[in-house]
Amino acid sequence: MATITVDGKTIEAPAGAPLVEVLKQNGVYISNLCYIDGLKPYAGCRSCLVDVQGPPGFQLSCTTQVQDNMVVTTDSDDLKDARKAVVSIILANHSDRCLTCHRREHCHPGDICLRDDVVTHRCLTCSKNYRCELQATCEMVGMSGYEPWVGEERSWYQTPQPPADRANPYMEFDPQMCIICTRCQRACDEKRHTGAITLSGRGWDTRIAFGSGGAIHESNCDFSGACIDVCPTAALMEHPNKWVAKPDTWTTTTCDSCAIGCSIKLGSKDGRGNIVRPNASGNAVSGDQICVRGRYHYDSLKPRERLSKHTVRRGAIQVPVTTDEAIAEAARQLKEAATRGRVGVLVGATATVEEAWLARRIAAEAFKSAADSALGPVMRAVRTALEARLGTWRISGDLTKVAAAKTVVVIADDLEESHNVLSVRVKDAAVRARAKVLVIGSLRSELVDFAAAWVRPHGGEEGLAAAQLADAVRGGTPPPAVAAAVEILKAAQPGETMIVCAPNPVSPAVAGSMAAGAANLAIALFGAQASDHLAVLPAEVNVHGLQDVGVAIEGGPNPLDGLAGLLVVRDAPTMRLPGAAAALDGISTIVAIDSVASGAVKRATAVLAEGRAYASAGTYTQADHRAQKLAPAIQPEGDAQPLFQLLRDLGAALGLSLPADADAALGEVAAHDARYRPAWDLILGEGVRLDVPTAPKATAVPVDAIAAGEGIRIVTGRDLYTALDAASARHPEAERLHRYDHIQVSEQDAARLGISDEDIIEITDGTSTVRAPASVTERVREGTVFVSSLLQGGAVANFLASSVIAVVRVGVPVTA
Amino acid sequence: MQAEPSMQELRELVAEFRPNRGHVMPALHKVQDRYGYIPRVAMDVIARQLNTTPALIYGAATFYTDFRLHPRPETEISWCSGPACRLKGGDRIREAIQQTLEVPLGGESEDGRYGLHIGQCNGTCTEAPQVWVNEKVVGNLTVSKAIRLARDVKGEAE
Ligand code: SF4
Ligand code: SF4
Ligand code: SF4
Ligand code: FES
Ligand code: FES
Repeated sequence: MATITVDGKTIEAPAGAPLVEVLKQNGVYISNLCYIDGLKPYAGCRSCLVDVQGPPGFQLSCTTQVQDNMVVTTDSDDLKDARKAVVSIILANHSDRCLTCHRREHCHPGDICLRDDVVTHRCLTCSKNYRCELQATCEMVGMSGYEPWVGEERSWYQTPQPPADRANPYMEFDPQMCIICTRCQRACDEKRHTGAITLSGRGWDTRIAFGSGGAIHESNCDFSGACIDVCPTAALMEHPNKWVAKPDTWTTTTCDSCAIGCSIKLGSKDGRGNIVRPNASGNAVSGDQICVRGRYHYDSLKPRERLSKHTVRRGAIQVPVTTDEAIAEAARQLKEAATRGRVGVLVGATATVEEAWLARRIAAEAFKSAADSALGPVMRAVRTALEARLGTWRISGDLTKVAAAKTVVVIADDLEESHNVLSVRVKDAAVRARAKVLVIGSLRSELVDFAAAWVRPHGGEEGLAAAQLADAVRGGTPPPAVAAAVEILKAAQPGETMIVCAPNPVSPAVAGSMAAGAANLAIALFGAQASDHLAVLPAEVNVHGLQDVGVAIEGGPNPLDGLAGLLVVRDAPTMRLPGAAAALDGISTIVAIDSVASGAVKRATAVLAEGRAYASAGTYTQADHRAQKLAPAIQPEGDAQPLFQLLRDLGAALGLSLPADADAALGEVAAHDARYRPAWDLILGEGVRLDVPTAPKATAVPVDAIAAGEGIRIVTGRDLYTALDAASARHPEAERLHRYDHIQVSEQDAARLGISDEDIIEITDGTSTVRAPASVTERVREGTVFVSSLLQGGAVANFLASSVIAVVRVGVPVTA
Repeated sequence: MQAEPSMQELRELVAEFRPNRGHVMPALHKVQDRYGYIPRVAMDVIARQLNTTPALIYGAATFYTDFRLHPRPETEISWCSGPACRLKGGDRIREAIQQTLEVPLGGESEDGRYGLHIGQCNGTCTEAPQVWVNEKVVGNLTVSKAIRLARDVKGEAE
């Protein structure tokens, strides 16, 4: 600690800390238009000037490091003038009425400008008006009354401004507003390790550019929006909410789109979400990062496209009914079905722990059945593989250790796409901690660029490859192709190594084999401490929470078999289970609770409309057993109700007495599982890791090759862009960038089969067929095609009977 | 105009380079030497070969004015922006050429037949004011000579 004096006040601060951060933390305003907290200073804007006693002249507070006894002045007249001069240079090349017009606080949209400013110069035409850092800076440095256009050369108004890029659904770049602070470029480079942004040109022609100079969506940008978060002006903004993101409420909650469970702040107006920003202090794994799903999938469907009415099927049509009628009718139908046979309950893995707990109690107490999930077969395959080797499925590896690890092993379809922010943490390790990253996967994922070694097994053999590496580590002679990988593994040290496994979300056989291979590898390297070095990332956000309350623990290979009735709790069997549509058609009573018109909703005899996860209060237990809180951030549409309430009322109509609210439900969960006690009184926004002890055993069990026929294999997995709920409703815009509504074909197979980009091709196993445009890419290995697990409502599931790798014929259809 | 080269061809062309910042410029030069410009796909291929991002390659390609990102027009007029030429009325020469060709400095005709670019002094100042037509010096220009030159390039009857 050092003691410094700032404008006569004494401040304690860590020696060596950047002065600018210390000033800001202590409430001393200092403009800092190019600095990003925590990153190396760029010293480009020169607006952060202060006077440090000793050296001559003024210093930049972003490059000045705190030293004991430092005496700093921030508010002398000379300094104020110097800062104004610096800011005036920035303003000379920026639209300025929004910054400096003395009337800007009085004007409202639609007003006539009393100063006769040209419309394009007006304050109200800037989408960032009132939330702009440049505007705030002008105010704070005393430039807000500045009238630079009086007798001054104004380059901004004299040169034609480059056009804005509005060609993608997620992010707009308007170079007119750019002050070339390069924050975006550094965030993309140093926080995301994506490097999609560059400074192009030189001198006065310097500009921000994306990729090789084209549109943003043609670059390698993955639309994380980390650049938006740091942009001080309106140059980079979210496209869907650029003009409307003026929330009346900000709610801290948890992203529902993968098992990292990033903490987010969801802004809403009149109960509808309109912007998402990362909540830096909510989840120690995600920190200040989120991905495209977290940032934009609050908006995966328009409000009017969500279910707003409960319905009951009469004949061929779904008739709207009141909430009370719907609950009564759903209960009546389910009771009636129970007299005919078994009633199943399926719970989707975006339900909270509390909601899953109610569903499980309804299944057990009203229908004497075990609640399952459409993901159940995959969940059980992973659980069985882990239990056989480690004696538990609760794996103790801590994901916060990934970023600082020295060795990271990734066994996944494509971690970048399935669990994006964890992939960023692996890149952190590679770039900042100089970790050796070993990637085991058939797809050429972005992580391969960061890898010291890449083992590329045939599709579906990732687990087998990991197990073979485990054997090689134990002493066999490795085949030369994997010698580099074995070298890395042999050098891996306990305590600074993490093995990250993201099992396949569709095929139980492949998922189980991946978990098994990962466990064997951890055991080979670390013996009894294996589980402390392993993390298994499930396919959806709350898979571990579901399992904790007993959902999907028991169940057969197909949860839809032999049912007289079915209660579907925000689950999507048609997206997960082979032949689900036909199986649902054979079930005479289906009560579906959902916020979208999923395959189950379309076939339901009663539909209860709910408000999706962002309307829920509750808990998610994410990949490394971190309990993250959800708070209701949006209102369900129309008559729709929060899921918890519907389950509670349905339970009551079935004669059960269920807890009144999420808190009471979590109390019951904590009584049944003491590990949840800390989660019970968790402060919103601050995740807490549930207690997970080191696994009780560590015994490698051989991993068998999965049988596969001759032909081209399907590799599937979660893609980064498709929204889960929109996909379950087969919405045509479930994937708005249209990168993954294609079938990806390897360059070699494409050449052999005469397939080019955008040709409509067909893959078929004789029974099921999927037709889509082709995308020829080196991402895919010869002899495989990649089909997103969410393409066309999860059509790929139909290819996967439970124990084989799907093999298909690929070609251009005869009648294209 | 040349068609965009294939990925395969480009990959072979830059196969010798290694992930090393020092290889960025030689790789760009090699591509430009072969095609006369740096095609967009080439930046992706170089980035992959050098294990870096297309953005970094693009940044370098736009920083140095000797790289072109568009195919060279059939006839390229480079206007000398050096001091001697400008003292001897180079700016009027530029205006005359611009107005006759109807392209701005740094622009090209829509059909890609001719373009006007900025050039740096090449030391032949004795012939100032001058332009280079496809790298051949055309010196001692006057406004009327410049207009005639531009008309010839444009293919207009006088
Ligand atoms: S959205 Fe993310 S990946 Fe794209 S440019 Fe911005 S920071 Fe980089
Ligand atoms: S786009 Fe925004 S963050 Fe990037 S350089 Fe311009 S003003 Fe700065
Ligand atoms: S990484 Fe996962 S939890 Fe985080 S924002 Fe993306 S989808 Fe949401
Ligand atoms: S913040 Fe210090 S120079 Fe920009
Ligand atoms: S100034 Fe034009 S050739 Fe030297």
